[in-house]
Amino acid sequence: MNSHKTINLDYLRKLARGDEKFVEDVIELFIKNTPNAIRNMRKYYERENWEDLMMEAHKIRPSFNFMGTREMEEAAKAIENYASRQTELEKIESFIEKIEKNIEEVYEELKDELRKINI
Amino acid sequence: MQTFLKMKKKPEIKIFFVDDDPIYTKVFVKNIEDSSYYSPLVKSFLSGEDSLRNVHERPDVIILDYYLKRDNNGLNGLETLKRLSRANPKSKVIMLTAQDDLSIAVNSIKFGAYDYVVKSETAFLKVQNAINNIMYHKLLYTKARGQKLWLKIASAALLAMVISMIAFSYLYPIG
Repeated sequence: MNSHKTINLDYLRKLARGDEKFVEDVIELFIKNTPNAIRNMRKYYERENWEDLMMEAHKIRPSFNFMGTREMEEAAKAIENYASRQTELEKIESFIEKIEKNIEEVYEELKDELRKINI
Repeated sequence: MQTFLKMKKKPEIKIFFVDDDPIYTKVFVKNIEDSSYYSPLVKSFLSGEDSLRNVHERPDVIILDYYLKRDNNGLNGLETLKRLSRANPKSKVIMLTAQDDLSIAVNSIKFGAYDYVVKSETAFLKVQNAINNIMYHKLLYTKARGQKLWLKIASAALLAMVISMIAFSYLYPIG
């Protein structure tokens, strides 16, 4: 049963088939790589580099899916779509802000999960 | 699938996974390695160049992300596909694409991909199905080749027997 507010690791655990080391490794990779990916999205948005923004959002979306952060996954999907089509570009910033605002809570809950795994 | 289930030993399959996202790679490789139907030998590569350096290993299947990052003028997914297809035409390449990318999917097939799968929640299942199909056809081909060989051996033996009978009848005529 999921005890967290922003994350839900049920899907990841289903993929893990009992391998808690795998779950731990994926969480650690996420915590390590995601800050840079979010910084890149912000950078590409400000430079109006839509192709790179689309690719960065495309890459980060499955990671949000594995962590069960549905709203952030939808935000990444929206960024990917708008940047790909280069339409309604003014909407992109709100989605990037949403991710930037909520990611710290995600990290905290994931670190909490890591502590539980290592007990 | 019934063919796999009847076999005493799971068929081996060599798979390359080419994607510059280490998280997606880790999860996808885990999914492939946990297959019930075949015994996979999986290698993952974070760039097109790395996968090309190892293509001499002749993987059966290559799962390739279309959106490989082109750091330092490296190869993107499509360029990697073209080179992999040229280097080893027998490898079946399954391209991973994004949503609503029909033109990219069509291009992938045009440049040698066996199939394309959208990176979505159903991607794992679809790739598993594609790999199962590839394995099934590989086994059928191997079986057919084996049967052809037996046919050749049997034909040669029959011919040898006929020639021997003719030679014998000349050497030892009746009457």
